[in-house]
Amino acid sequence: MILSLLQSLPVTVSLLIGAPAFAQAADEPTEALPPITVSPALLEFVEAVYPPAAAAEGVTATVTLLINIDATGAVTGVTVLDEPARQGTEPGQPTTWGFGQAAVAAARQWHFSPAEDANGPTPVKIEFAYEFKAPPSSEPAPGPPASAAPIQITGVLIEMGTRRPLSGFPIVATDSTGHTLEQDTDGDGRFALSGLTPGSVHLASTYPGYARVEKTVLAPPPPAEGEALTPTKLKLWLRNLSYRDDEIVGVYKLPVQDVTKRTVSTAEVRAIPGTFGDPVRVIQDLPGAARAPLGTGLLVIRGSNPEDSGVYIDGIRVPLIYHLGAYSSVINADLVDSVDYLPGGYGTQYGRSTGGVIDIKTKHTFPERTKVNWNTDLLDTSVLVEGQAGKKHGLGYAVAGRRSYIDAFIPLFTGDTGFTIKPRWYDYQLKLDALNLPKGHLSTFLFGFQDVLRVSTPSDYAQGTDQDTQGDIGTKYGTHRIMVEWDRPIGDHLALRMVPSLGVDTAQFNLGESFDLTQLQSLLELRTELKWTPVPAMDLTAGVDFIGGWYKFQTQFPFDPTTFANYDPLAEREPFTQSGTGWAWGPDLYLEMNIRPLADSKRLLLQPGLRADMMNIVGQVDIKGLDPRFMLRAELFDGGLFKLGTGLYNQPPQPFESWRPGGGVDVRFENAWSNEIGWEQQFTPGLSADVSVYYKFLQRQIVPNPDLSSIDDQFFVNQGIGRAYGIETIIRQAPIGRFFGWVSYTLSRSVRNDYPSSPRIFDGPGLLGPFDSADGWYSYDFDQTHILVAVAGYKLPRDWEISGKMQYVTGNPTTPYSGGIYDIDQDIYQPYSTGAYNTERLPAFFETDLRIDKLFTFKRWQLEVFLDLLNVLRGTNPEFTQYNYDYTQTAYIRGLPFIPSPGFQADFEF
Amino acid sequence: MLPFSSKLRRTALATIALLGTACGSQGLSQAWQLDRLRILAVRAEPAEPRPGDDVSFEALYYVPDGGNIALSLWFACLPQAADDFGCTMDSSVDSSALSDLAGIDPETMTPKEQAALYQQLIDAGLIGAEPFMAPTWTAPADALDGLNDTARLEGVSAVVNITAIPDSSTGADDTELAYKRLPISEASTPNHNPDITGFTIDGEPVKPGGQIDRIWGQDVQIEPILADDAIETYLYRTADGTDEQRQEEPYVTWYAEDGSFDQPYGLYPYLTATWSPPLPQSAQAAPPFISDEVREITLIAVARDRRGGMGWAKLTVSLASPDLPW
Repeated sequence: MILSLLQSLPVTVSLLIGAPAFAQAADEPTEALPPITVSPALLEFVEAVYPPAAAAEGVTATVTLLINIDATGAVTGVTVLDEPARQGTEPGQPTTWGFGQAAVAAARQWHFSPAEDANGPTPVKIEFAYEFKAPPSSEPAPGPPASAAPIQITGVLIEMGTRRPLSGFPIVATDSTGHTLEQDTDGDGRFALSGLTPGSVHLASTYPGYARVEKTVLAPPPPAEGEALTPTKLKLWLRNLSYRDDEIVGVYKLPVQDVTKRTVSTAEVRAIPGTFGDPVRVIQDLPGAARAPLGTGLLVIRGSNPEDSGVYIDGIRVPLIYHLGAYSSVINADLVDSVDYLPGGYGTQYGRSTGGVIDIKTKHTFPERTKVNWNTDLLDTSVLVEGQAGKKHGLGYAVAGRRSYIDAFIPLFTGDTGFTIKPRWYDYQLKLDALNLPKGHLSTFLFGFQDVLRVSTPSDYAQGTDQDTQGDIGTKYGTHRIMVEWDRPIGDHLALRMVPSLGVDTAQFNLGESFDLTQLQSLLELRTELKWTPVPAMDLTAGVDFIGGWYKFQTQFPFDPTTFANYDPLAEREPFTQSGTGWAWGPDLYLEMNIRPLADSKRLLLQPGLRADMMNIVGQVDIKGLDPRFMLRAELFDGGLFKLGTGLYNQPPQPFESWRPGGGVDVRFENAWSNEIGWEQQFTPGLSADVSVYYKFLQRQIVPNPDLSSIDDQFFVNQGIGRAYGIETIIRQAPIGRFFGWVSYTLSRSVRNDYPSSPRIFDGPGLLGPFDSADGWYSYDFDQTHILVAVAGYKLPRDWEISGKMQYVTGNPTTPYSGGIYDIDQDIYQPYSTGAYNTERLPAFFETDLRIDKLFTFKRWQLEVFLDLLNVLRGTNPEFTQYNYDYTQTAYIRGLPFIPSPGFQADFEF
Repeated sequence: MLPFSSKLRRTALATIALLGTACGSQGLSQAWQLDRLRILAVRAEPAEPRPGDDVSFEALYYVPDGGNIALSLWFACLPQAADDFGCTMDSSVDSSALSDLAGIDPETMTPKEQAALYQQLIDAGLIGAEPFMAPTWTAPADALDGLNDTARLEGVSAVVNITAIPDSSTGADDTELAYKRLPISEASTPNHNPDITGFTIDGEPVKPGGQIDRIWGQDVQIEPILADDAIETYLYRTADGTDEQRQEEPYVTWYAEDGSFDQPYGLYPYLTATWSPPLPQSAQAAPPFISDEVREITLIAVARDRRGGMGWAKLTVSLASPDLPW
């Protein structure tokens, strides 16, 4: 495809493919061939202006460029490695013809598809030979070989499924006399044949990687005198033997600038059973991520609470990534370019989290032809349309939408019983990308989603005995954002990146007429970075990560929640309402420096950084913090890399933790001191291993105020502490060739102590207080000692693919109960605990999933049909313990049974 | 800064999970199943005493197979003297009298011996020890000391603990622990216990303790009849000092020795429940369920007024095969 693109260009250029072709620049970092799995393909080409002086004298030249390409495929820098000198110049005259300058100006406007290594998209440098072959003339560009004889047969060669024209493909025509003509298709895949004996003509095209195509057509006889010959027109469709094989090329790989960053390619995501093509869900199969119960999308990374990990889309933080029930992500999976998973030790550009970071990068490349992707399953349908628009294909676009309809089917099962459950969700995305900017990159992304759940019961049905838990249950929440992403190099040493965003978040919850919560916030987010690279050995990034806006909320409870600690069910209740409105902002600033002090710059990278955290909720909270961070990556020998990171991570309190009626809340940032040390080893271009040891001190954790006695008291205090530590290992075979897979193992421990100064001690069997423990410390709810995941996929011939996943995870902690004491007034049993909080565990989780996938290619579209076989070995996986009414009997609420889950996805190109 | 929705979302997920789990009991015993010693309700009289008032208590026990409890110990205290388990026994007192209680037949004791035993029990902090001593308690005269006028109207909830020990001769060994709150106040409209005066069975009235005949497999639609004064109107002084007239919203809990209820609760005004009787031990799989077996099953309804007042009534359903014409 790269070749066909390049051959269509009006000038001859050559991308040097293959290891020997990548001559190294003398002053550039050297590196043994890294495991690049997908080369960057030139998608947007702008021709260089032919230097007038050279054109006037008919001078031709070849200029060698070194092009920096970032992980999105954008060109971030161009330098001339070699260009011809101008001979015989007089003093004061230019010493070159200007070919280099012209080539640099042109190359800065190009756009490539991202290069990928085993971890997904990666920044690279490539060497590019730009050939100024002939001075421009007013003559039209040469088309198919001209012939004096009239054209008898014309046609176009098209790739099946994608409808892309195939240029440079040979067409062999044999007429009835045995005379043979051979011609290559032009840049548009066209061919034109003449000089054939009228009558039957056999056409054939054979090309490596494609199925041979043959067709017999009629060559028209010569026309009557004075009439024009009407040629036979046809389309020849060629089937690619595998639409899934990527080229492997060698390119320079730029160093990763986080201690541990794992990126999963979309090809791997699609192949892993049980992920439903969702790139975020794959994170849960990587080291450091705990298994979420019942397949939900809870992100529990390195022993952190789910709300302690941040989810970003193109660098802008979003509150949610999954729709209701966590079956679908809120962004179309085909709009996702890559997902970065940073379990810890990340740089200062990310903040406001003590847990991990998930950064979803959306596409920056768009197909030349309009492409429609249709995805339907039992729950919802999504459609994506993408392509390029404008006279010069200057605008890339993608429009996507999803709507659920499961709420329409549920009444078929519930009938007229009066019980109804109506989950409903939608999402939308619109991305516009300026493709031909002379410098930098500009795109706009509009996206949003809304989820609604209504649960109704008949009016004579009792939902428990409490009068305030009766009635319908409803929840509705949504997020809408519009953002602009603008990257622009300023000179040779500065690069500016700005991502402003506007958005609205809404949330509502109600239970009958007693409980009600409504929240609205409008947000302005702005991420601005200025990167200065004065010398190749050092760069400095200064950034602003601003989030601010206006909020409004109203809550209603049937009683004062502050009395809950001394709850008396016989006490009369008075409705309790709270409401508030105001402004809040957090203008975080960060600095980060990358220093490569050694001559061989890739051998050592030092990265000190500092982030200033601020949060101001006017009249409520005004807090500040500093996050010093440091990271080191040292390649001690080829393929072996030592890494180390340490740093402070501050996280602001949740909104409900930072508000009280009278204002002036004394609550500070929660923080984590995160430390990591590890080793990465590259055995072969595809095979690598990574071992990391981490230890995280959790400090100032926000816990309920134990002394809360009135509404005027502070609801939460920074008294909790915690520890999370473990070892993560992964051995991974990148999707090079037909096989990919990994084995990931995490050994971890995560504990909390909510009130270290006055720990809640379990002093023997009895009614257990919240988090009572043996010595103040208790296991975190999702503490999973062993997490073993093995994933493997294999591409079979004829676009078949099989893959599998095996998961073994230690059961979550539970609290043992044995019997209960009957509360006669409330008509419920209070559980009687025989052990401290979370001192027992559920049995281990074991699940094996398989997937079979077949891609069918038709002339104008492709159909992917797959069958996920979930839990094929029928593991009976306890997720929760269920007790009977008096806590004398137990049973397990188990995970998914064996489920065969078929599905399909169709791609159309127009 | 403001990722508020994650909490709400978890609420939604939890709701779904709860609904999902509520769909299946996975063979676990249900609260309405009477298959072991249970304390189903406790009724204080008066239901809302004033400080210094004498209060008597009556418990509704269920003992399988018509048996009796061997012993039931009662304690009472103000909330400040209670811990997780409710009221505690003063460790300084002589509790030796308790150790042999279960082995004593009160009918063999002389009045003098009984009096001495009662005194020992009272000294140990007990307010009752059935079957020896009926539970009674005098609400402490200082129960409301330190409260302002509004708080005295609302009062405090004393704690009453009951420990029921089954008769070991029945083979049962499960001791049942329960506790109840007793509001002590100076309310102008103190609470009264709600009485169940009968049932409406399939549209026909039945008196408490009555019996109805039904055939195997025949559902029973049952509604408790509350006394006319069971749903009280009372005054509540709000936090801002306004007197507000409120009406009780009682609910009924259903129990049965066998069979099943369509729902274990009925909230006023929807008190009707449907009880499905069990099938006979040996019968064909489809109606009519012909069997020689005849069985009597006890159903119990307990009414609670949410202010501490309780009342109950029983009903016996006799199940037999239908009279066939042949």
